[in-house]
Amino acid sequence: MDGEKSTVIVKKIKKNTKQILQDPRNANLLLDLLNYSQSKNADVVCASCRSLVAVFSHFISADCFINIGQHTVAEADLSKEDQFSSWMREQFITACDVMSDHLCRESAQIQTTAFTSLVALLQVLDKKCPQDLSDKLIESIMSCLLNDEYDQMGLIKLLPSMLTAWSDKLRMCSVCLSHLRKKLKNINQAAADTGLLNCWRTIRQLASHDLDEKLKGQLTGVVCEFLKHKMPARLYREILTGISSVMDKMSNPLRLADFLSESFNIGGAVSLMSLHGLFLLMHKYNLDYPDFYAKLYSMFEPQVFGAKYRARFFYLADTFLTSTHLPAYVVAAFAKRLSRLCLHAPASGSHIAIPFISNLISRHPTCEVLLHRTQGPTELDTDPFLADETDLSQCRALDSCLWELQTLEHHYDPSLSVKAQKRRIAENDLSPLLENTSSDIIASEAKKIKKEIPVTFQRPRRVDFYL
Amino acid sequence: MAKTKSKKGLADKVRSKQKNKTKQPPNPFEVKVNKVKHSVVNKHLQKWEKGIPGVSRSKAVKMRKDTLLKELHHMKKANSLLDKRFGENDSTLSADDKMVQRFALEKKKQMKKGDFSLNDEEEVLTHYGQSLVENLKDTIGSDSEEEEDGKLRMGQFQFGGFSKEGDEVSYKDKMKEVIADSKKQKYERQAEKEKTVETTKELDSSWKSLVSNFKPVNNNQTGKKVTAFMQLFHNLVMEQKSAGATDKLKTEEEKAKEEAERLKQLEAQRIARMKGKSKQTKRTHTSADDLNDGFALEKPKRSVTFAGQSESEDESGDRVNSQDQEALSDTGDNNKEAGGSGDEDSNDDDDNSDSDDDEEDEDGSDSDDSYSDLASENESENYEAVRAVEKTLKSKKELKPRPILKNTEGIERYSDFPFFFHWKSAPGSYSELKSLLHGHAADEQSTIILRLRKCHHPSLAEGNKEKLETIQQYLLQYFGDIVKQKPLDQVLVDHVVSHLWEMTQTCNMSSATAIQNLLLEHHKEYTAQAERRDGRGTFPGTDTLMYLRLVECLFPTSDFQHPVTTPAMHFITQMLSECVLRNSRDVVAGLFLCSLALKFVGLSRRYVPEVITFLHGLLYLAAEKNAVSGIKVFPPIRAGGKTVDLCIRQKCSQVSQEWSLSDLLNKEPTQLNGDQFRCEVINRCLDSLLMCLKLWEDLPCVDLIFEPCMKPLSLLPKHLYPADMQAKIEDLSQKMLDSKSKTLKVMQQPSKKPVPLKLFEPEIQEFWAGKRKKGGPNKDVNERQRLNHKYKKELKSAIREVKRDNEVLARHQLETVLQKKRKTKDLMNSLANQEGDFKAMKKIKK
Repeated sequence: MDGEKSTVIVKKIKKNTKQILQDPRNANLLLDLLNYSQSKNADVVCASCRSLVAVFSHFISADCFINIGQHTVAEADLSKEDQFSSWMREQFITACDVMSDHLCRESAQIQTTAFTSLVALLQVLDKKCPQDLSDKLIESIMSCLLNDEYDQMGLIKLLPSMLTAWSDKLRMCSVCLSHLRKKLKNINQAAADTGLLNCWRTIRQLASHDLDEKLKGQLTGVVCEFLKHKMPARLYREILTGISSVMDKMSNPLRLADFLSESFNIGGAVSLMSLHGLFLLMHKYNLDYPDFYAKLYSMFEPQVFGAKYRARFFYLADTFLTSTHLPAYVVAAFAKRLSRLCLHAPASGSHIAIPFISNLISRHPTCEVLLHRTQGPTELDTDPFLADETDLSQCRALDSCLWELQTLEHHYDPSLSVKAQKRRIAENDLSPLLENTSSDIIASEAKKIKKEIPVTFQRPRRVDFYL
Repeated sequence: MAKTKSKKGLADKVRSKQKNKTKQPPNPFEVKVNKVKHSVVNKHLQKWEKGIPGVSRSKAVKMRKDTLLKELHHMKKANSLLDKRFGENDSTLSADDKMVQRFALEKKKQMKKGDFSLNDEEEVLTHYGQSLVENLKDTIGSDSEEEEDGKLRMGQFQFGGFSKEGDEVSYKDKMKEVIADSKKQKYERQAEKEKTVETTKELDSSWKSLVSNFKPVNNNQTGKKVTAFMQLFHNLVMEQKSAGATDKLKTEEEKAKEEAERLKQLEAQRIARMKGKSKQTKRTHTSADDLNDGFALEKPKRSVTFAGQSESEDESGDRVNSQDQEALSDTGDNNKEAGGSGDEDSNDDDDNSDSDDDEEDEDGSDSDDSYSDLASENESENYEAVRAVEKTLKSKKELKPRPILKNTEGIERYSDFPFFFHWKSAPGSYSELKSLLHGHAADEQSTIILRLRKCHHPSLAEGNKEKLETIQQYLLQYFGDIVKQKPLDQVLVDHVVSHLWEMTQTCNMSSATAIQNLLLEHHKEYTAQAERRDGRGTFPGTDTLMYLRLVECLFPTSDFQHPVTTPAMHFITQMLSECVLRNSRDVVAGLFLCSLALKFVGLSRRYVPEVITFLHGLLYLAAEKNAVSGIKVFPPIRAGGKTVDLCIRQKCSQVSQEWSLSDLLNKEPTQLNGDQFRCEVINRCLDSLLMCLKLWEDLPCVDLIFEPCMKPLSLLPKHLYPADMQAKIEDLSQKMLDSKSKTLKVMQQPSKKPVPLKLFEPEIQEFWAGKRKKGGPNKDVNERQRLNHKYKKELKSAIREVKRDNEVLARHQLETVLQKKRKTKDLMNSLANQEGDFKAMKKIKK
């Protein structure tokens, strides 16, 4: 019944819109439309929003109520036309308010319709240049996007459409950024998690556009302001994954160094994720970070094989160690440490780690002593490598050999065993291996079914289930 | 001969050539020396510098006369005389030699006996007209009587001694002897003849009796009037078949030896697969019916059936075969008569006896085998009966109608479920199979499954193989169900597993795919669960664990790579490395998986890191709380959080020996929380660690592998554990310390052998023709030049030869013409003389 009703209303709305557009004398029907737009039914709201946009864009393009704001006179003095346009203006402002309210509604449909209609209005306003009106409109939109209560992810994704609404895109961006800055200054530290999240997403959206120098400076200010706040762990991780894209658009990315090095020092997954940002800073912006490899070395722990970000970590570590200018002792220490980890790693981890090690050695021929030692004694009592040493130059990795690989030749996994047996191989791309999980390995092993399958030749005597 | 000649080496030829060149020096007057413009000291004389033109020319002329002129002479003649006398054409032989050899040949011809020569006695040497052989014979014969006949001997030594008297006596005696001898021989020949006649008669009579025995059988079979000849013929055929080379029954030792051989071969194959180096030699298909005695597959002989055949059916496969036959005959009977059912029953009994047979074999190896409980009492009775029949058969070794075994007890017992499943009535779904088996005891269920399998044997009907495969799938599903039952029916599980094993032997391909699919299904379930829990897995249900155990039973776990066991192993280790311990049930499941993983690698001794990390985690949980902070842990166990506590607080006095997974999992979680339980967990953990140490003691990094376990081991509250566990802990830590003292060999790549330069054999040409052109552009051009040169040379020499030939011929012709002229001239001369004389005479007369 409700549905029936809504369709009737939608038809009515369409009819009203037509009437208004045909004849301005029917303008009073606008009030009905406004009423409808406040109803609870999503379809009705959407239809009314659309028709409001149609009506207002019609009137705006007809210059009905644009230039009134300059001279405020007593109402009595106004001509009938002026009265109409001021009335119209009032209606416009109320309609804008209603639609901005809709931006914070639960229903995604209403949200997006309201947003698109607001953006359409903005687009129309751009041509006529009514500064105050459009500024107000943008402000209300931004405050809705950055509010502290709702997660506005869906709307923030639509932000690019707003940014391109005006022909002068950069002006729009700067307006948005200034709004952002204002918001960040006044943000309530206590219950601002959602607000900060919205802010960060908006920043990312803004940073995905081309910006000029001035805007870059503005953005840098905003980002620095933003990073001063205290973040929840989830947001922190999201920032770390996305910061590399923002970094490119900043006028001075080195201002991120403090933030990144701090997060690198935190340890665990967070430091793992800050790796990439730091590496970019070092690589592109000449950041001097003395203990980077020592820190990286300390991150090679048994936990990396179980971590969610395993693939990312190994990918990054591989890129960090790509340079052939690294000293041999550093590379040897990494190889040795990783092979030690392999001794207690699950098979899926070793599947990445062993090619990683062979990559290291194939890139650094001086490290081949780890596999093939011709000088010195042929037998050693103990492994000279010091596993607990944090200083790379002191850990004596170059005096050792990769006996761990010899051990892994006896690994139960056939492909791993084969990998460990291959000693001199060319450098390989790790990327196809990184996402390999145990399930993938099982699936690939199960595929290898042949015509003849060996079976046990001894009859099982008694199937016991003892531990 | 030609071959041996050609085989002679080049060097030999050269030497022989040099040997033959012993010619006398030429006459100095004949030698012509060409003048050399620039003489060089120490240079070999070239061929053209010196020669004997006269001699060589005369040689050539002579040669032409011998050959060319001969040919000319014989040119228009059809016949020719051949001189075949020995050595006539051989100039090397001297006349004396020729004579000697001709004589020898003559002699030989005389000595050679013709094929039809009647006088086959050898040429007899005589002395005084008597044969020397006879005299010698006498001498040898009288050897024993030296004393008496000294005189005679003396005489005989001197070839009769020229004494008249002795000669006379011996002659008479001899004649008498000869007569007696011939008589005796004649008698003997007669006796022999009689004997053969007698034996033939005897054989004929026995044969006839046999024929009469077969007569009625043959008549019944054909139902027609058969001629006596045809009957005999058929009988002969039959006779040959049955009396032909039948395999004799194998003795126990032979059987044992064969079995041992088979096992040895299979073990060798397994080890090859374990090393992963097998060259994938194409295995010939061996059906389950194969005895593995290298005997080709043959259709079973239906005509002659021994009741005691089960004697030779040691291997399970053959058993199936014979039962097929019986099942076939059952289809004929259509299972309507009581006799048919009796037959069935005996069939069944055979099966039981076989299984008992196996058991008996195994009893020797392990006495505590609990397999015997599967054979119920009356079955063992049946078994006794069969044994007795076999024995009698063995002793008599005769053809006998098959004895029908009757055991009323058995019939009563199994009469309530179907004996025969029509091939169309295969269970169409899992629920059907379940309802079929529902409500029966373990033994009965086993029998039903057995019959189901027999009736759907692939050799019985088209499409049976697929049905058998589906039955197998249902059976696998059934296995999963029965292991989930609360009190586990061990006997039933054993039966089902042994059936599954047998089916796996027959159709390994389908069973592998079925089990693989099951495993993948369970794995999918597991991963879905793990994803819901943010990557942290939970230990799966009992059936998954049991399926993994089943894999261990059915497929070789020691293979380097295997489509079933390798994924199973990955599944196990994935669970060990991902699952979080939440309660004591998880601990039990994890320990079970650990022991299973160690069983998997028990033979191949491969390294499984996940087991070590899991056991390390258990030790960590069991260590004393206050000291544990510094220890590094491996995921999934976390340093801080401790959901499961294995540290004991009160003294435990003892630990039980056996711990069954099913018992433990069926208990309430609250029952598994006491110190006793924790103590047992640690006991198992220590056992597994000891096992690991034993398995991996040869690995180069064994100390590093066990290093993480040392610290939590030392932090265990030892004083609270029972004495034997304390000893185990001591043992373990001691062994770990010992492993540290191992020396490490520095890693070195195997040095590559230097590749030797390619060597070429020197090419020696036996006959070098043509001059050698040095440094030609390439081989082809060189060869062409050489051939051109040779061709020119040959052409020139041929032309020269032809010219010389023509010269010789022309000279010969001229000579003959001149000769003719001369002859006519002479004739004319003589005629003229005659005429002159005649005319002179005439004048004188006048």
